[in-house]
Amino acid sequence: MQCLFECQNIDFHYPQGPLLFNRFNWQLFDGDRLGLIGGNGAGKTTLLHLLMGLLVPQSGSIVAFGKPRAAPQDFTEVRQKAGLLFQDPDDMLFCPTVIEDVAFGPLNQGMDRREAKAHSLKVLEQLNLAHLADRVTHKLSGGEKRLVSLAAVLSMNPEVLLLDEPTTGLDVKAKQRFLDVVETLPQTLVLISHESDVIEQLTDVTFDLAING
Amino acid sequence: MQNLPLDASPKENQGLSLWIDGIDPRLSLLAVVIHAAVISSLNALDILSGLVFLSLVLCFLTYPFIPLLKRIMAMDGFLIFVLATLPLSVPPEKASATLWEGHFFGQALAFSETGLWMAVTIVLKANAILLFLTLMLGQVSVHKLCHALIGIKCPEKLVFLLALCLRYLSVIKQQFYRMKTAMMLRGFQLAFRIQSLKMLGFLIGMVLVRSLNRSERIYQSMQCRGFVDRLAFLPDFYWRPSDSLIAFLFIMFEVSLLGVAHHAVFI
Repeated sequence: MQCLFECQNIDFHYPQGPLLFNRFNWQLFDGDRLGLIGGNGAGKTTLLHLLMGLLVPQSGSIVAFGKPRAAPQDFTEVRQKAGLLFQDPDDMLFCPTVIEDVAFGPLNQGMDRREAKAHSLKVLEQLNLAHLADRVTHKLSGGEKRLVSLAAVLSMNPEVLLLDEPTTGLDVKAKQRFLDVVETLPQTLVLISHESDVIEQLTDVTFDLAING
Repeated sequence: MQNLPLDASPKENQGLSLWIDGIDPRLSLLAVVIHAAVISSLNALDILSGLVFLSLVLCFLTYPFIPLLKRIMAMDGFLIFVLATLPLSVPPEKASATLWEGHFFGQALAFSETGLWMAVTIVLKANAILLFLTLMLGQVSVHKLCHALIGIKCPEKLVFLLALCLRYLSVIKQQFYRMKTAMMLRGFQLAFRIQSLKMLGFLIGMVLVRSLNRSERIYQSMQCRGFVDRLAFLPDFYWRPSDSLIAFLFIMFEVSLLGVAHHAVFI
């Protein structure tokens, strides 16, 4: 089985903060569906940000998709292959309309406008969201925002999905709809959640950062 | 950010508002720019008053009365200062043009007729431009406006900046009100006291800090989706034959406006 992400002896702390990771080792393999758990401040979101190159560890190395990644430009390829869903969908939906937001990634991947639009519409259709395409992002409901930001990540055809508390704040119906959509996705998955039913439905194995971090 | 800050929601199912809504937003935007330029070059008070009256009538036909009136009052509130101060600061052209003379804290002051007419001209110009702007763009949503700006070849970076500002203004506003409510629930009262002002300072400071944090997160999420320097807009426009007709009539109107105004100057 191919190893997609590997943390080797990672040390990390925020400026003036306590040591969050101390010689931390961790691996993610192709096909894994992993639930990342741990209390507040255990470093769950930080780990995902380290994997995507948004934060830089003080020491140790990150190996992603078979290559060590250190410099910011090393992570360009990682960001093409791994999709991170942020905790707050308002951070992800910055374009005026839904279709533009979903097409943002594909356009950055080099598709031309027409191609990117057609591809984004296809992704929205797959998630049964095609009716939202021309809606203004800020007028969507909480559940719709979450699903549209998932579509925005999926439109880049990632091999790995990193979902950061995707169901927090959703009502029962919106949450179930989100879970049903994610359950059918074939990608390797890392999921942060405090909800045991979510972890149970979507993941095969859990990793507790409070114990292992 | 659903609508422009200058917007008053249009009357529903109204012939005129539907008709204006059907115009290609690029045309509306260009029309406003051209109209503003033409009006700036006019100085004839009768023509300016006529234009204000015409825009006012059309605006009242398109938008509900009270919100529109509030909007006009908000705009004219600033212009009152122009009306009040300009006649004092502009020297009269001839001695007979002085309407009032007096002393204020030992300083000689004169209220000149020249300044008064200048102020009236400015007020009329500002009203004519802003009423036309409200008429043409008041019901254009922000994303359509951004697309229209791209459509008339505004730099994409500037348009993106505008879109981001408008997108996050409401988010920051919500955050501000959430924190303010939390303060109110804990007994905070806004008053002219050191403690109260200090708390207000904390509130504004926190809004700034949180906005900064949010902007960092937005940039991170853009980076995660491959952002380098290319920005994405996917505008859809449908230029209809009626738009060509409107554009032609509008240009004729503006040209005749200039013609009449220049003629008036020569008389």
